[in-house]
Amino acid sequence: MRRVLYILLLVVMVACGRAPMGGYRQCPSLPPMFPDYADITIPCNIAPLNFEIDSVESIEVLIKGEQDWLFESRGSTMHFNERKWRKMLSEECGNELLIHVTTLRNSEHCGWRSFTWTVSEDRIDPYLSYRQIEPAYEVWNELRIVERNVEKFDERLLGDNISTDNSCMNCHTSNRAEQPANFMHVRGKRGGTIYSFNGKMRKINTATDRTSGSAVYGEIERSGRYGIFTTADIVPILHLDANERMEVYDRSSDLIVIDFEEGTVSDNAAISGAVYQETFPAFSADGRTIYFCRAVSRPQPDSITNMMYSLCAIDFDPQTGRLGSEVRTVIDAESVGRSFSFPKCSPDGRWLMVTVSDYGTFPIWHSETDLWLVDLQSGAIDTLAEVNGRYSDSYHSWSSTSRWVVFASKRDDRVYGRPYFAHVDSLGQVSRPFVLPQRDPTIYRTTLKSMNIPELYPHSEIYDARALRRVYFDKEAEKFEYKENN
Amino acid sequence: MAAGWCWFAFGVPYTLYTKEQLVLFVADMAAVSEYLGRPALIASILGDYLTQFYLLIGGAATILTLFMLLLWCGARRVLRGFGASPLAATAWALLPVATEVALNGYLEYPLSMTIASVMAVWTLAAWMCLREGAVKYIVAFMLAAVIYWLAGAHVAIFALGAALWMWREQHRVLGVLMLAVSAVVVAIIGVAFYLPISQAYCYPLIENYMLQNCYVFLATEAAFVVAIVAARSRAWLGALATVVVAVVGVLTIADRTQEYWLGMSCEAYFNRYDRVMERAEENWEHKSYVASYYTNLALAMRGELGEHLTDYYQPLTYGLLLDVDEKSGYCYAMAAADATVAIGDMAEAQRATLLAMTFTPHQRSSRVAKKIVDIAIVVGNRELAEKFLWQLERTAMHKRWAAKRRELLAVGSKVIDAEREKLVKEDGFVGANNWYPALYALVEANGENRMAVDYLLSMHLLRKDRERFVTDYERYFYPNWGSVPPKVYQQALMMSFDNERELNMAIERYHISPEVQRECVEYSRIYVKAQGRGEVLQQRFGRTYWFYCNYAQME
Repeated sequence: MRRVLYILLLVVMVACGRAPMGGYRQCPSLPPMFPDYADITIPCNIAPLNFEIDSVESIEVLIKGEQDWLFESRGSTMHFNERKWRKMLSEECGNELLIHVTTLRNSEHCGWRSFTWTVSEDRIDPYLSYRQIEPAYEVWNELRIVERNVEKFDERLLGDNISTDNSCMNCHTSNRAEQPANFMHVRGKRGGTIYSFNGKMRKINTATDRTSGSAVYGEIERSGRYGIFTTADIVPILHLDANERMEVYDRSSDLIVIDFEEGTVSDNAAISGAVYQETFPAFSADGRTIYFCRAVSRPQPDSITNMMYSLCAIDFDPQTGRLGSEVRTVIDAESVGRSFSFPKCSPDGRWLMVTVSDYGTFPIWHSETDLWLVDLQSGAIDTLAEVNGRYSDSYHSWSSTSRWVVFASKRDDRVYGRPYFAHVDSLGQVSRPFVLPQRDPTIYRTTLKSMNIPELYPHSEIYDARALRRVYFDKEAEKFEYKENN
Repeated sequence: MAAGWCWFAFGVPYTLYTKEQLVLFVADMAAVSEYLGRPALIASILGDYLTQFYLLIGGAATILTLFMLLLWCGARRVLRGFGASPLAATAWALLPVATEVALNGYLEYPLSMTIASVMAVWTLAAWMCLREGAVKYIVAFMLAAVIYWLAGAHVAIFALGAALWMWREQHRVLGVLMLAVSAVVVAIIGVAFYLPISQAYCYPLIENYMLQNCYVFLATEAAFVVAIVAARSRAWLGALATVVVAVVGVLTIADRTQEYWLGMSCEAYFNRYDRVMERAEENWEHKSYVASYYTNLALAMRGELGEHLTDYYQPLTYGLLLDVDEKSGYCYAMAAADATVAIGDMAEAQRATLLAMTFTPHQRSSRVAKKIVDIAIVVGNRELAEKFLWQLERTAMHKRWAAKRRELLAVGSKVIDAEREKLVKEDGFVGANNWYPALYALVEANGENRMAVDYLLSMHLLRKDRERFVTDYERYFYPNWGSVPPKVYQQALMMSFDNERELNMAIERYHISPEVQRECVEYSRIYVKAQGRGEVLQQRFGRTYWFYCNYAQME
């Protein structure tokens, strides 16, 4: 009887074990993994690059560095063991890893062509905020501002418009300083600019009688005292061509300087007025220059395709908050035949990344939109041909180390934006980008939300969606006063 | 139960079909894990999964009736626990069932709510079986939290039932505490899920949608409490109360006009335009924009828009192409893309579909997903088509459709090529819902696009802009199809020339039929004789363009 039981047990064990190897085939192509993580540079503190290979029964990943690292996963998704992954990254930091992927399908093992991961010693800022929003033209329903820890898969909500009267919220931006100052705009009846600094959260009404509307795009300089913002009268219109979709133009746009300490909003003739439209301001690393985009004002929408925004600059004194009086053109839009948006300086002051499109000021729906990298020392421009995707690569943000950028890209399907990371080395070489890793990468196939306005920063935001809700409903917005800036 | 089945199958079938269109249940862990971000976890997952089968004929009626049966069994068991006789329990248990039957007539009352009520009632029944003692009461408080997390707002059924039980057992303070704690628990869990308090108390019903007062679901709770309190009375009273509630509920909730235009929308979605036309005549009674819109679309697809435009109710231009914005609602937005796709205005169609997807209660819709795929295939956005095909392939009811489209995507077809021929060739800018630029761009891009030409001319006619009609008729219609002018176009042409010489020339050039000429003369004669009184003309000429032009105005 006992012998029969042993035999039965053996049969069960064999039956429950792995499927026997029916054969092995070497495939000459790269594994059809989703997302595509082949031949990329990754930070040594990134979350596991889980990926999916459709219709396979199991996946085996052998990573060859100084040591061999073997990861296995049942099913069609490769879920790396997080602890082992972190150990691997820390021990292989600075190495180039060779990745061998083997899959099992219909009792046949398939070994795919190997690819590489270069583990950079440059750490990426651990926090990434982005906005989850339906890609639905001029309107929205549910949107959230999410803070993701890119070293893990943890997420928390910084804002959820279901709890703030369905108001629009946008532009969560950090100055990435040791003592960080962040802002985000929440629209709606009780909205305002949410400014967090020194552990405090403030709600500010930045609209004044002398300036045109509330603050929109902008940045805060390193000390946290001054911010430079656009104020704009924004109009959405549609394209007749189905592949172009939507256009947004500014009826008017100016820049304003906000002094968060003094509670004032100021401007001067160089950055306001009807002759030019100014937008997308950004501080240089030392805070002494403000870069922005500027176009000669023309009647719109008739002349919208002639609206070419040049990259310009104006002096700024971070001690006094005073602007210079003269605007310099850094790159003339007409000379390069492209319109500039979203200039962002690397924190080390060496580089400026900027978005370029054929015309106008709303590159997000322009499929031709690309990123360019400007060397602020030599003035050389890199058009980043290896980095840019087929469709819109637009809003971007630097890591505080200046070695990583994150940008919103619609390269996957032309409609839904995703955060992509790329490494920038000391010579300005930008690596092949990769999408934000997810615990379950299939989320990119199932989600119907765009993830836009990605922003990297080193310190977690001080508030969450509940605190934001309290501030939205319970706190009156501080009213800032206008002040001449001459 | 049979009455309930019949009500679902024959009373509100299109409302229930539409509920299926408002769900896109993707059988994938990543998609299902999104449910973890909200309460009512099990009820929502199960509800959305089963709602897929509403697409089957009788599917919704059968599924709902089964849940009604479960609800009745659970309620009966609870009432028996409260001491009702078998007969009285049988009759009074029908009362909450009647309210749930009626509530399911609301477009935005999801199956998950009914499932939640079943879960709450059966949990209560099970809880009542526990032995009396402190543990039982502690468990009740814990269950309130668990039920809300798993089932949602109908936890109130459990809380009220448990409170009444405690009251009956002379633990009156505990009963009151049960209600208070349940209310607080819902608020706490709701806040934990980032829901506003008002939304937390009615989830998975969504606030601020067509269902004006989402707390209407408490009717089931009220019926349940009445049933418990009255269950010791005569059984016939319970039966009578059930009939009254069912009749009043159904009459209050059933919206015949909505059911009518949802029917037009659904039949168009099922590509049964012959049925759309069969129901078109009824719109003189309902006066629905959507019904006019689908009637016009069905006519245009047959090439008969110019022939029969004024044979049907026309709310000026509002029934020709549907204006869509954030206030128009998802039903309009879902419908709006049908005509724009048919005429080739893919830019506007994309906008309408994305708005529709955005404004459905859970920002997911199988109908919209399919429309996005069709549009993406035509405009050549393969990646977007593949994204939605991937999702549709993981649904229970649309995977075959998706497989066919994937095949189409791979090999292409002459139909797709023909659709691409319609696309606008030259880009331009246009405000939302400004139809003229798009229509002109379409007819300029492809003069053979008869539907676009018909829509352009009909837009002029419904706006009573006869000057532009004649110009565009001459330019876009006459060269290709002028030898056989449709009736309404003939009527409009007859009306558009003032002097006799021009009119005679027009009659000859545009081949105006002798019948239309005779009718026109007769119309003018009666019009003059009646001194413009429309009622005299309505009987005979109410469906002519002349009558529309002279008398149509928005009510």
